[in-house]
Amino acid sequence: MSGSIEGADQCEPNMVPILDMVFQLITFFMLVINFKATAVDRELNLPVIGSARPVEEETQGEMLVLNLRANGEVTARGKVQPNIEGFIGVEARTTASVKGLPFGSPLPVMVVIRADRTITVQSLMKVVNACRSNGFDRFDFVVIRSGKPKAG
Amino acid sequence: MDSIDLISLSFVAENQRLDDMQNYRKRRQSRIRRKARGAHGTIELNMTAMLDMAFQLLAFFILTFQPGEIETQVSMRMPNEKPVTQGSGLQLELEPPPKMDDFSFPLVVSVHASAEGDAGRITVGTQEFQNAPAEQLYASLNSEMESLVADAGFDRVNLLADEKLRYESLMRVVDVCTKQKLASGEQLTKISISTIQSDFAR
Repeated sequence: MSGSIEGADQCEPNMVPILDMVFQLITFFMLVINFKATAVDRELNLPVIGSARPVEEETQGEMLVLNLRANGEVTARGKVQPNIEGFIGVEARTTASVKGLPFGSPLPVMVVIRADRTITVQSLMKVVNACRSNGFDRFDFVVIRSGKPKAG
Repeated sequence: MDSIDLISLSFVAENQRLDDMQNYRKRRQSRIRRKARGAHGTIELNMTAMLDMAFQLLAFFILTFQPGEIETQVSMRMPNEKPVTQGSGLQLELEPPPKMDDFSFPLVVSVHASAEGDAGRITVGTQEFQNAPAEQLYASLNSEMESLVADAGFDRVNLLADEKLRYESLMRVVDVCTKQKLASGEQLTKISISTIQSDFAR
């Protein structure tokens, strides 16, 4: 402890270590914070794929995150989309016009599907086919690689 | 000891006391001078505001920190199917014929759902697995696919999934498919998924 004691009546604690510590903690939290989590529905029970290594591809560029809930609702852009086909169509047209691509051509956007593990293939394929018919052809199906699924 | 000695001793003691007092005064004055010099020569930053700010930031990050589960993704490219011929009126436009390399037969895997939505019956080529727990069905599928993909030379899988099958079961089957190694040593990546009518819907 290198506190500077000038006289018997004055004692100044050395703040340098605590400041170092606090700034290191702040740096850590700033690095691990995930702003993409705003587009993510945390209530979903994602499917658990044991120890297998799925085909992974570096996700770059734009993403369209679609959350498929167990009750059939689809959330995207932070809110429930009652007409998912219409929403995907609008997204596709907007992306195509921004990128200067003809409508219907393959779009350079990764569709990230975060679906509850209890939904049926029918519900899933309805969303997937809506994406495919609008030009989205790259999909990321989010799963949990290991660990126990949440209760419920 | 006579009285002169006592007087001289007390005199020496008195001198000593005076000397001590003088030294104390000198030290005190020099300390005051040093403090006065220091007050003008150094700048002391007020750390309180910065510490407040740092702790507020720290509290924000701690409260908003959500350690997520280990998520990963299964990436797939699923282009929209195009008709082989595109006709309009009298004009018929044919797409260019596929190259010879494109002729390969897919391995057809069909997964039928049980009443609970898990995998209840799995068909791989001519083999059929059923009446077993789902985990056992996946293991049988894996062993069958290992021999078929590596030996028979299939390089793509056409996955027919029951429309009532649960998403998790579908991904388990996809996972089994993506684990397979082709005869060339590469991983199997070409998987197409389509739905079939459920046995329970008929």
